[in-house]
Amino acid sequence: MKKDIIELKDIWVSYPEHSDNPLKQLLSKDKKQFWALKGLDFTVKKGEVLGIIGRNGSGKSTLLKLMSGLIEPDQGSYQVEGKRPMLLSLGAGFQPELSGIENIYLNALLLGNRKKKIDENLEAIIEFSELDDFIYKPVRTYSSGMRARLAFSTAIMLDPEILLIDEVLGVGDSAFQKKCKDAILEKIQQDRTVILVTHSSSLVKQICDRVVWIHRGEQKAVGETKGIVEQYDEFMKAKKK
Amino acid sequence: MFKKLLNDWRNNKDLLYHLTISELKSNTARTYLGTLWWIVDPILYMAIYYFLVGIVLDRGGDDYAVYLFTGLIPLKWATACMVDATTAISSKARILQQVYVPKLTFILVRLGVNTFKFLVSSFIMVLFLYFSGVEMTVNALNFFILLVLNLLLLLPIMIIMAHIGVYLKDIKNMMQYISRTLLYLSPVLFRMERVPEDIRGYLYLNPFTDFLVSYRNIFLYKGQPLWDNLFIILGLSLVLLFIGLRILNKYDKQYAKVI
Repeated sequence: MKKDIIELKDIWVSYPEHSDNPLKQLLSKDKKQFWALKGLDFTVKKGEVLGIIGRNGSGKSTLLKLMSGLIEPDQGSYQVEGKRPMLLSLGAGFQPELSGIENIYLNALLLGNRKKKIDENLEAIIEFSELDDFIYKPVRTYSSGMRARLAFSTAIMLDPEILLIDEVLGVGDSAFQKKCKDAILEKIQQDRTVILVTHSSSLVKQICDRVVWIHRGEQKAVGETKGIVEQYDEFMKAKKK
Repeated sequence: MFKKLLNDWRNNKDLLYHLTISELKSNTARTYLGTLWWIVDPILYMAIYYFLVGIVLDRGGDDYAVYLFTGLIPLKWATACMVDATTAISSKARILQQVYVPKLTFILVRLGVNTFKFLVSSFIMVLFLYFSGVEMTVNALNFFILLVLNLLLLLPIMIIMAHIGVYLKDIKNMMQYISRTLLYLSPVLFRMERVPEDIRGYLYLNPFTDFLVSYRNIFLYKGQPLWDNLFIILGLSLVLLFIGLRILNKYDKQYAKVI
């Protein structure tokens, strides 16, 4: 029996309702709320690959924010053993005027790494990104594919404890996509915990052990990949008709 | 709260350094003058006001240039900090949606960038004073104490501005007008002696007046800063800082929801 590494207990998250008049919103007493997550309740085990599926607007992004510690639940408890998972983000903190190398440092530090660790991994990051001499050029001269490569390389080479992946596998050309997938599979081999958040069931089918399906903020089903993905696909097909 | 602050500091000092450097680099990247702008900018700024008041209006007297510059440079630092602070958190939406960073980091970066520029400007100002024949005594070294006290006043103001800036975007426009008003309400362009005596005391209620008078005392008049007034301002700053940090701490996990 594997150990639980993340535990979500009856999680409720709300957002303040958006209003056209910010001053009115700030001063009004009855704050309208929009519930993005309604009573989620599941665990993630150490070393497993968990898929989280749901349509657009089902609450996936909110769940990611919660798990990476950006927001707190209004109700319920969220516990992580050890370091908080980091979203494998695609260069949120890139400064276009700075070189690739400088951006590796900036992004890796933002992801909570120590400078020493980055120094040690710099070579590997540059090599994985296949950017060659471009690494010395400002990031504004990069194509979108090159940016994504730099970001993915930085995140994956620093070897996070728990990998939170948000549909990042659509980056770069198909050769690089395969490389990304292989890198993630390698992490899975090393008994790393991986959480994959997506709306498409195909990748989930390939790599996930278990799946959580959320729909409109509610947890619709949790369990073995096969059964849940079948239900999800059927549900989506029915929607299309 | 203080334990968390200490922890954040330990974990984020490298990040703070890199963010500040990168912001400074990005500001001057792709300009022909590059880092020379840090020097050109205060000189041009001082020249414009000198041209207006000293030459066109022909006011101010003989030592007007040095009087003007010793006021303009510190006030410009303060107003730039306050205006920049309004977007310190709100402009980092992309980062804040993806990774957790203590929000104080972004405010400290803006403070750091502006303080660096202020130090460069101050150096130029001191050179200018030297070549204008102003004699400086050891009292001028009080500059470093003034610097720390001034930083302690600016930081809490910036924290509060940054917080408001997340919820009320109008604060940036408002701040631009407030800075302009401060320029005229502080003894930058005019001399304190010219102000009617019955309202002169009120001007000291503006903390920047006390700082400007202190800067001039040490640089121009071989004197001491207004220690008594600055001591009161220090107390006020610390109270404000405590309140500011409490607010940041309370809203830490809220910003990502509303940005």
